[in-house]
Amino acid sequence: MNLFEAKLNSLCKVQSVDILDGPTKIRLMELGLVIGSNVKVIKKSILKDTLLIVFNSTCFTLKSNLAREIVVTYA
Amino acid sequence: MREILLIGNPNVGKSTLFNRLTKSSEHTGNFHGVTVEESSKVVKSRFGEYNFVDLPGIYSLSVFSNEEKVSFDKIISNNVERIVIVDANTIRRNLYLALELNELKLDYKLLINNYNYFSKNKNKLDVELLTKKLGVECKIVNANKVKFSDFEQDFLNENCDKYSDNAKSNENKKLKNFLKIDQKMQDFQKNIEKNNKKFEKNENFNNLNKNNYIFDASKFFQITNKNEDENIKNKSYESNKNDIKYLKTYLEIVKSKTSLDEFTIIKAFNGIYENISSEDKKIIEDLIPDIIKARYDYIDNLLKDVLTLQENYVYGVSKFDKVLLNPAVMSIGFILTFFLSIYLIFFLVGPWLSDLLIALVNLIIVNPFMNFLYSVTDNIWLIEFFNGGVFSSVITVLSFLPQVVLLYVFLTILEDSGLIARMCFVFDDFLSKLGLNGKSIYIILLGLGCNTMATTATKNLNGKNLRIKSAILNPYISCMARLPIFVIIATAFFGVRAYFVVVGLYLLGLVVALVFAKILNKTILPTEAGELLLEFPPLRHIDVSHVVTAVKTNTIDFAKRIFGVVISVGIIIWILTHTATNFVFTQDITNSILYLISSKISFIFAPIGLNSPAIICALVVGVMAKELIVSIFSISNATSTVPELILSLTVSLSVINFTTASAMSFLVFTLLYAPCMSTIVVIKKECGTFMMWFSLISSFVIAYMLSFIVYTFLTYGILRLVLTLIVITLVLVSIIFLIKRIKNKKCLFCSKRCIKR
Repeated sequence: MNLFEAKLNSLCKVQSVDILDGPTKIRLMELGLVIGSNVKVIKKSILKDTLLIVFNSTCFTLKSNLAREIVVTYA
Repeated sequence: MREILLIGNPNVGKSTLFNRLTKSSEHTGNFHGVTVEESSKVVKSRFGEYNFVDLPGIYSLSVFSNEEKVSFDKIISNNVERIVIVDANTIRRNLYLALELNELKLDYKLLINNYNYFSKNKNKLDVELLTKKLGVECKIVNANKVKFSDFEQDFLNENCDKYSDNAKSNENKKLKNFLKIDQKMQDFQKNIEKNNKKFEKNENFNNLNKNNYIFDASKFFQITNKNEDENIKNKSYESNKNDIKYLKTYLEIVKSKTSLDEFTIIKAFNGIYENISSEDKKIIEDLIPDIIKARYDYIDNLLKDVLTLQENYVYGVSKFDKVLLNPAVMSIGFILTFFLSIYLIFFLVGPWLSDLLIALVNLIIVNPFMNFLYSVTDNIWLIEFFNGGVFSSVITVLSFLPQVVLLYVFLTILEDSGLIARMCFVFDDFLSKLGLNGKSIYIILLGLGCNTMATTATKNLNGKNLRIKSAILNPYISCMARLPIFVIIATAFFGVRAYFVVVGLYLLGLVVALVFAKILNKTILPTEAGELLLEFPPLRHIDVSHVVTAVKTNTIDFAKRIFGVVISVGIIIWILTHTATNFVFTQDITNSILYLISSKISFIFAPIGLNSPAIICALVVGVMAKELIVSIFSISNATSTVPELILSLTVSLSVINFTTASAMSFLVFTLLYAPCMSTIVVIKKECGTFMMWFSLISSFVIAYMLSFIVYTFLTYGILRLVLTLIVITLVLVSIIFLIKRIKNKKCLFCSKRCIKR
């Protein structure tokens, strides 16, 4: 499943980051969203276009189009 | 003079530290990317002279935005000292940048900020062990409270009393340690530079110098690998305590596939591609995700015994976020809070404070000065000049100083609390549909204070079209300079309903901005692949001292504008309005030069009910600074207080007077017609000349159209408005039709290409 499909507040493990846009992929990874790291979706916006997620002990907002390209499994 | 760079991730406290050390008042806030431009200030002490440089936040050396480029260029420049500031709560992520500096052998010190919040949550950090493992001096600092003298003693130099004299000669051992260059390394470098021509011809050596990249012997040794001296060899990448063993595999891969040297490869791993072919670049880029992973593995290993975090410790969210992140709560809460604040500030508390301030100014400055003037001269020109030209314009604008202060308090609290990031999250959905994104909320909020500041802040947005769009839309958001105009005219013509008129104008500006955003998104400025990656700061208690400092800074800026621009332009305007066409003094403004000039273009504004030359003059001068509009009103109607001015605007014998319809038209036009000169300059800088003209022309056209609709509706009723709009639409459609026909070389009357015949 991708990160967008993950249940709220479930701890997930990143399997791959398949974002086609190179700089965005690198930026996300530099922030700590690397393969094997833990990530949790804690809130979805009303139109589900933006997610509030936690990784690397810090909260970030992330667009759903990016979240759809991050493959995760439940930890 | 020592140049000291404050480097770090966004929102770790760089600007706060900068402000404390330099006694500056740079804009700070609990939001990611508040600083978008480099700022510096020199501080002198008895031990030395320091040029502190506050850089925009940067996550890594891979540059993705304009403000990151500013930081990047400075970080890799020569002859600077680097201080990396990290937040204890996000140290794992923050160390990524520090590690990149290690890889490039760039010296730095590490300061750990926000430790109180971190330790309050029962987390632990062994700073001594971190220093040992990272190989870099690490210390805890409280950026909110640190004093320069303590900072100098603790962080800049342990022997500051000797530093300034001895640093250049490197005789002092401790100073040599501080500079991280030992004598042998210097000797080696000198040897290379003076004696060894072979090295000088070395391509790598030349590349380093050509690119103004920091050169020290350790790097050169590492590249050439020809020196057998063990002391120097210890400084090479392979054996240095800050080693890059974790990159060795990737180095070997790239080396086996290319002819690049190690240092060039390391630079490329950190986003610095110099003298690398596109094929080699591709090989390196393919490895970047693995390298990032390797760096985080290294950081995790480094922090294994150093960092003890409480289980499930998350920095950023709190229990209040369950409520705050509800869109209904956030939207309604914000709108109610903002408009209630406007009511309190401009219609309840503000006027009372204004009266008090003006009474004081009159008592202390104006009355004594005018009494003195009356006692020494009876020259009517001179008396009128000071009374009408200087004091009346300044006092009218100064009356709004308390309101401006109160509104800044509101905006500063909003920014410091961490609410802005939450608003970005909540409103992102809606704004995305218009081609903007959540961060645009920050630009809009800044625009409520100052359009120029908000336009500068568009640098924080990713994507060229998004940046341009936000810069063009920003002037439709009513800034503080326009508020005095709104309040005065609305009070004069709408009495108790004035508040709702002002609120309506704010909403109109916002609606115009958002609709225009949608149009631009569909036409000339489609937003690039949408992305919003925004750090979520924690909710914070409001630091009263910071609010006071921020408000003081903004108030001083406002006061400077009053005493700089308003006085100087006010004097010019007064002279032009009191000099007749035969160049003699006149008290009748209708005989003045300015009235004559303005009357020549008054026909343009007649359809929107603004055909008085004095009003047109106010609008033209208002492009320089919106505060001047009120100032011109005051000079033209010869009033010295706000109540007098309000009264005069409704009197038909006054030079500037309105009907209810023309007043409303004027308010709409003033809201939308053009940003001030300083905003125009920033739009040109950020978006280019073409977009600046596009912004000016489009805002004028929109303002004119809406003012026309308002004026026609209020004067002639809905039927006349509809008929007029139909006629105008038909005329416009016909013109477009004709232009298209002529452009396509088609006949005006048939569908054939018979125009040439």
